Amino acid sequence: MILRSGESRAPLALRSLSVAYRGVPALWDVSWEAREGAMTAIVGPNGAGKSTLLNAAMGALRPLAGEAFFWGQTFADVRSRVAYVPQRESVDWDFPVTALEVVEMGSARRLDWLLPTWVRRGTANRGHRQEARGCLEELGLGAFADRPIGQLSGGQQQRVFLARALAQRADLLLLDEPFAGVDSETEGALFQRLRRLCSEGTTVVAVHHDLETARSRFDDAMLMAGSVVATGPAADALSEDNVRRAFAPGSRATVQLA
Amino acid sequence: MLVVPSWSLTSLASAPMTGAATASAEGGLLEAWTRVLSFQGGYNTNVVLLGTILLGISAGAVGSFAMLKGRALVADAISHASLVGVALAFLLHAALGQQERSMPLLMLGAALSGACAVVAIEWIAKHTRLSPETAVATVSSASFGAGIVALSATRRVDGADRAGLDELIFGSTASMTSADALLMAVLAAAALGATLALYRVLTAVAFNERFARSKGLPVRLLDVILAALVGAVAMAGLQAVGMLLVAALLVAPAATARLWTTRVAPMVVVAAAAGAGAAWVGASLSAVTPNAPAGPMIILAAASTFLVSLLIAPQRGVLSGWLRHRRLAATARRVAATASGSRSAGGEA
Repeated sequence: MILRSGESRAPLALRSLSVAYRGVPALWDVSWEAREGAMTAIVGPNGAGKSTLLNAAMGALRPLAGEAFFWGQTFADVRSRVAYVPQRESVDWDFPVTALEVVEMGSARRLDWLLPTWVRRGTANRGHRQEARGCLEELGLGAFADRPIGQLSGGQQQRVFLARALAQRADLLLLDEPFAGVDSETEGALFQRLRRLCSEGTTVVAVHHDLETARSRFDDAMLMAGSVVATGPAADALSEDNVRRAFAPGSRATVQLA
Repeated sequence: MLVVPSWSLTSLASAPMTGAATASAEGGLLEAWTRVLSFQGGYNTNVVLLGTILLGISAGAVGSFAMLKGRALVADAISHASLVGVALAFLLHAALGQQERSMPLLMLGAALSGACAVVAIEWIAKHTRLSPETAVATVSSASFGAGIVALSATRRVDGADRAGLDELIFGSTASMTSADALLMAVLAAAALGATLALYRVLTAVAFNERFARSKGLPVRLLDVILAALVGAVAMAGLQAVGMLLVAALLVAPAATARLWTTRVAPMVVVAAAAGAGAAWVGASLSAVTPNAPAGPMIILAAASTFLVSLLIAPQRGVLSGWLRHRRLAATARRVAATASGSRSAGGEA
């Protein structure tokens, strides 16, 4: 294995990452590392660049400058070890697909994409399906496997997406507001499931909105407003003082053009 | 004031079907139609009919993915843009002193200008804050304007085969030779084959682009491929359905299928069947009816299927929704009545 960053083997390490949309900076000079086996909340006001951070790290956006490393390698090298749950709003929920089919997209390996389902008969395929079903059952959605996703509630849809992430058996989960539209009871259950993954060595990085649960349920936090405001253990990073600074009007770093 | 371009009138007039016009003279319309429907209308009619049916199948399948991707109207932009390409190819051909119509050259022109339209749409959608719909609408209407201008220019060319050009606008199966039909069938079959081969990736990208990208699927390349497939169907349908209407053949069967199905695979199958049915009924009706060009007949058949489906489809249909609502309202009223009854009874006690 070639380590390209030279130093860090953290599951996710950002080095001076800056991203802009049409000349407007969304992310400025962000350097940060996720701790292995920990749950980290990315917290910040609307427009702080939280989703941008995840997308840029995965190479979906081209940064102005800076780099992102996963275990010291680029995202393309370790793709299969990372599972990503996008924001709810980025998906067409009226799409004609069942919950089980969504989860199966998670466990699909590279070659599977090119083979139509009716070609992949036999045990391998059945194993896949069984695995996907298991992930749905784990999140209490076993009875909804064959429902079109449009017929599920918001919280159930979010759980389907988490089931798809589980099916990927990844070492790093990147979650973009995974608890949006989830009721508090389900949220508790999901947190427990994520906690168990962490104890098995998985790293969880989640964009999260609720400050209370960010402090109580997560190990670490990364508070940001365009650029990094505070990082570290959740309770410290999300101190009243830091939060006030990050959420204050005009908190986003103004960039001095050189 | 609406000015009807003269080419539209001439093309309507020049559209009667030659293949089976004789058939309608021999017996009733229904009898003649049954004969063509059951593939007894003669070799050339059969070849054209079969080719058109294959076009319908292909349009249904490709159109399904275009619709799921939210790019159904790209077909419209491509077809409008192909007006420009066809007219320019025609002018070039005439300038080189050629008299005969050259279908491959016209198709090449259409393909090139269609590709330009797709590039323009994707560029606007990516590099400006305008929504993709606005990008499609702008490019589509701009190309239509350019197309009309280019077509007027062709009218000044003397002696060239203008009629052939007119037929491409509204579609005419009558003037199609077996070779034309074969070209159409090959293009349609290729688009169909590619769509089926890429079935899973196209679904994944249409459903959740960001996730697909995180899994390493070449999202941009697949966008280009889908646009190319839409373009291939549009080119294939140029002659039979016509430039202006081929977009409808991509959209209507897919929209129909979405009403009946809740999963992608059945949707593609139903859309293909709806496209085939529309092509079969429309092209054969056009063959036995004087002055009924094939393109509009096929589109009318597809639109009727959609309309009926919209009414009677079990889950997403208008009727079933209305019935569900009525049943629910009745139940709600009953519940409210018993609740207020028990409340007043409780209040008195």
